Amino acid sequence: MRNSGLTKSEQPSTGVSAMCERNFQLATEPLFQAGEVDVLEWSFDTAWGMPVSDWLTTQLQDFSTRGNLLGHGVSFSPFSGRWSTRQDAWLQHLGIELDRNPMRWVPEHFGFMDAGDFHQSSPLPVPLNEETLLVGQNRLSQLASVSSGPVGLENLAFAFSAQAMWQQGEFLDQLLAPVGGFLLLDLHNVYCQAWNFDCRASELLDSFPLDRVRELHISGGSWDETSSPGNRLRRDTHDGAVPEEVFELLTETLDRCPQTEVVILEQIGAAFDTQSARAQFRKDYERMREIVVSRRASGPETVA
Amino acid sequence: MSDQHAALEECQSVLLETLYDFDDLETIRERLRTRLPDPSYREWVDSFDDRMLSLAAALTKQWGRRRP
Repeated sequence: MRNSGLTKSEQPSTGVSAMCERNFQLATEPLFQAGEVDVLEWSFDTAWGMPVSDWLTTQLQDFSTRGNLLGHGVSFSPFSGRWSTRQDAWLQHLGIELDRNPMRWVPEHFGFMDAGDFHQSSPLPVPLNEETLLVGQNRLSQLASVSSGPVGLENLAFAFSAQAMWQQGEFLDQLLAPVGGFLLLDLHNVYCQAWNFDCRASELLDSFPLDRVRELHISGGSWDETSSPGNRLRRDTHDGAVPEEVFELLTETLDRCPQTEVVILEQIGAAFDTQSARAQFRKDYERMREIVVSRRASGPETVA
Repeated sequence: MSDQHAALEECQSVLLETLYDFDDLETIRERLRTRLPDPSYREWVDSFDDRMLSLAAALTKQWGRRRP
């Protein structure tokens, strides 16, 4: 069976997003050895065509066997208006991945990166209209048919306008409803949008279907160097320490999202390049875990 | 298969091409207005915040890859 099922008695648990780079192993091995990584998230499509080390291969198999490997699609581009042979191939490869290492669930991103001559780009938002709703619902259904388990969508960090930012949550709810999908709520993405459109992150949280949240992401990011001083834009680059505001948002979100099962710390492989960066990642992980454990102990609702 | 949505595909294709090829915001806006035949999609791109449009152009130039 591809879907490994849910382990509600232990939620929420904490984990990291696996990266192929050797420096990821250097950064996280102490956490694995200490038994502090409960779940492992695997952005499987970022590794297609890349070498995967024996160490990471073993981790993926081990976590999958225990039902604690989480899928995370990056390049499916579920909201592209055109269905392409590349997406057909993507779904076939996903099936192979799931046969090799069953994953608990497979979310993707709310956006598109494939259109016209372009087969890759930064994920961009889509117009929130009937056509997009139909496309998204169809693609989630296709994803669900291959994954044989829960599917979901991750909120975007980028919005073209404040109006689109405020409408995103309700649209996600409509997209996810037909497949009973879940929301992967990325808190750094919420932080980016709140900063960029000058609103309170906790207020923005209200716009999302919080009862659908089963997974949280936190990460660091960076400031856009090209924006004017005093009017900086926040970017979700996954290459720095987790901001204090995101930790505060995590605490609040755990209280407001009792269905949360896992919290994942993300960082791109290239950002583990120094000892201090690797130490900072472990420090952020410990902080994240402390917050989760404290909410687990005192949370308003405990799932038995 | 019928999972093709021409109006959305055209909008997305024009958007990526324009963001990739141009820097100047007025030029980007003008090209989007003239190349998008569907009024609802023109209305959508007209709603874009200048700062975010500029960032989207930078991101598309950084990460965009055309098919060989």
